[in-house]
Amino acid sequence: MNEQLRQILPRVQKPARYTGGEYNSIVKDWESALVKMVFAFPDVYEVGMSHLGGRILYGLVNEHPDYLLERTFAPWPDMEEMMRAAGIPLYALESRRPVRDFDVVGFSLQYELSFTNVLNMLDLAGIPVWSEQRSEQDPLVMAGGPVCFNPEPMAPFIDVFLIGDGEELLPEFLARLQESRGKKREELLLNLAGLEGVYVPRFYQIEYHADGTLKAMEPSHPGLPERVTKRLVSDLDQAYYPLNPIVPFLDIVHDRAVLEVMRGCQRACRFCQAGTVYRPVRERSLSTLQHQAEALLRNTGYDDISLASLSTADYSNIQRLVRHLVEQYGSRGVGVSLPSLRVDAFSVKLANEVQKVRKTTLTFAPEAGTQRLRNVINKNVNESDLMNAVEAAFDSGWSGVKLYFMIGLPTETYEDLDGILELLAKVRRIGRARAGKRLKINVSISNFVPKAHTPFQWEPQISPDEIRAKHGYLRKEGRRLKGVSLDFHQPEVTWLEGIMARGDRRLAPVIYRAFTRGCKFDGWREYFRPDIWQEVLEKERVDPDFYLYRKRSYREVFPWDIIDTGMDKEYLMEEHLISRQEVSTPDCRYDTCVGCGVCPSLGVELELKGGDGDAPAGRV
Amino acid sequence: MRLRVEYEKGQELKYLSHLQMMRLVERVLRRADLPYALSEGFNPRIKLSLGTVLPVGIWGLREYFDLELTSHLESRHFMERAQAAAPMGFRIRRAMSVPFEVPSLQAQINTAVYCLVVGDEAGRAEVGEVIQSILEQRELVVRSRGKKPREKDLRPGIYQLHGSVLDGRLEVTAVVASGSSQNVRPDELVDGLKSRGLSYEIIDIYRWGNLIKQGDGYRSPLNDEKVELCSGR
Repeated sequence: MNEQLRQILPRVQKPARYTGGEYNSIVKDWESALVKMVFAFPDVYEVGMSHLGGRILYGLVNEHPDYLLERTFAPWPDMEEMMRAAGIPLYALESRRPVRDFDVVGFSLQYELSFTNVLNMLDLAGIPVWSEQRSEQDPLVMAGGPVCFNPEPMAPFIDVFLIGDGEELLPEFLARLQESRGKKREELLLNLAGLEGVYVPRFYQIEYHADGTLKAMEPSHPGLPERVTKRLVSDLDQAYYPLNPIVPFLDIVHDRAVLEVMRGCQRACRFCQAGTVYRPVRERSLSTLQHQAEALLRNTGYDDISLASLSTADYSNIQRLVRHLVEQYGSRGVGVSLPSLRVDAFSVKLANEVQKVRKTTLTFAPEAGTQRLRNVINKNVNESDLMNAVEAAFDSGWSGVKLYFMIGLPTETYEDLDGILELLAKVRRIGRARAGKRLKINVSISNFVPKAHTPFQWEPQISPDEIRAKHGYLRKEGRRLKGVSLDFHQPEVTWLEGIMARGDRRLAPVIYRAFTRGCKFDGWREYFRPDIWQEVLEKERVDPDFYLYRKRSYREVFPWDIIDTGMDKEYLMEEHLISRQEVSTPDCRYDTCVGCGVCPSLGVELELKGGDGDAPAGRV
Repeated sequence: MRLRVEYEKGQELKYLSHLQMMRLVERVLRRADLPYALSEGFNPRIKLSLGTVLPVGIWGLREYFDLELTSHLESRHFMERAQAAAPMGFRIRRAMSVPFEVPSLQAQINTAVYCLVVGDEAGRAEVGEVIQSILEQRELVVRSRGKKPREKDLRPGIYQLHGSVLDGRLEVTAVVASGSSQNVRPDELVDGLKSRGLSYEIIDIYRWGNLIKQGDGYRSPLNDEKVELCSGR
């Protein structure tokens, strides 16, 4: 194979995607490893290598003397074509062994539009794509990641899903696998299904009502859970964190050291799935993070360290941490990145500390254009917060900001779109006065997709036609705003995301047929073929509108109800109901418990590491 | 102080572009915690400059970079620390302090030595004839592989050309012009050999070294030493 690769690699784009050998990559002895797993990321190398979860699992599993974890990514179509022509199967970067030689192939599902890539990778590996067609000799095909919180569309392709945080679950899973060696596949899977957080879809029978909605999902074997509860690291401060991550040769999407300051977010935005699935908030202590930063920078040589979380400005020691990093490493040319800023002046103050070393882009996400709609979605930001933030930004010398909005939110009218335009005009006015002609406001407008496990899971989704009409309106009206550039997400992408996000098992034949028709890299504009998806939905007689546009009843059983996030469905219903009254729900880290059910049902607590006098200012 | 470093970009790294090599070196320097100097401004960078570009797909035995340090460091210490922080395939061969008055690598280097590995030792006679044919004639016109597609005569930029057998492999060694005024690219060289009848496949190309040509002699960019060409690796 190496000889064939030598001939192929000079002829593909970015050959370094396929060679391995990066600094800090780990090549373990094949023969002495008792369980061999390959981490499979269904997107291109630069995207996959940017993913924090993969870095954590790579270090974690390889630290164990008996286990081995290698990597594989979706080859870009030019490489895939050459591999297929030369008969090279999908291989792992470390040992360059075929993926089918491993015991477990673990897919990381981060995005619904990577489903066809999963099938394509299995096919390229020579592993049957349907779970039931795999033999005793085939590897176990596993999947984890946030998309597994509605695993059903992929259920017939995946032998076993791991739900929730992987730090504790994955080692338990591999240990159980090792103990069960020699057992028949079916028995092995039954054994694995006994672990908390493990979902084996073949052991669940599904019944439907005549109207197509779900009637019930029942375990087919005694002793299996009615619902699979997500796993959770209760003490993040003590949890494993990789201090020797791989340093890629290529420029990857997020090419920097990453400190995970906390996991979870309790702002309770009603559109947000991450808010549910990663709840509750667990923080790392300042001293742990300082120690980790030191080791990470020493071991990687990066010139940038990112403070990652769902809402970094909410981390209770953020100010001290930022100050420490800038003081400690700034003089060596190492900068700090803040990926998500809260919409307030406090965040700009933080960004100001950071820009002493390296200038960054400021990004704010008001999400909706009017206070009314922001109340509906529980985005607890008001207009003066935004104006204070941008004023502070322009005063501090930034000549541009980036703003995120969403359209298609429940109850949205054209007044809310006018609200977006008015906000932009106001931001522009403030910017013009300070930055003059250099002013650059980049606005990214995405389209709302109702997600499983959120208060909006009962809501119908906006159609591509409506999206196009609203884009047209914003584009036309927005033209008057010089220095403001609007960027819109593709309506058809939203359409397919929406089908999958709340889909069920009946979508599997559609995904399969799309794959056989050549669909891959659906999340990449140059490869996305909505026309083929339309066609295969028709061929399989699956009505996409059923998943997209129905107003679901509170009594309806959802396919994703099989997964227990710890959050009560009643709480979500209540949140849904009060969203219509435009009533906001407070943040449980500052106010009282909102009774979502996560902490008591999972036996955890909200974990804050705040020191005195450094509580986050500017509560919004 | 200013340090000039000679390194090997090994087979493992041959697919990395100039920019990626630059990033690689920067990260080695940071991991080794060396006293590198930084540029001023919004986006501080290590004061580092790499020598001539090595095309993607080609590895190199003697490549160079210049580095500015804020304090004195023995070459030996530099080499030890940097090597300990280097990825596979990146080998530091030598390092020497050079005065700031010495021109940049890009300004000094005007010659490259490429080795083209021919698949089969059986090609000896044919390779000999091809080389002969090129050396005997005044012109070697190929289509330029550069940005502008045009006819290009490589011959004035070919200083030496000979075949040899090294570790049982047949290699064509070419000493050619390199730099902004005149430049012979290795892929053009392959085209040139083929146009004169080479039928064997070139299975590997590496750059043996970068040199400063002065009259008929060649000097090393590292220490101005006279270089005897092609005495093995």
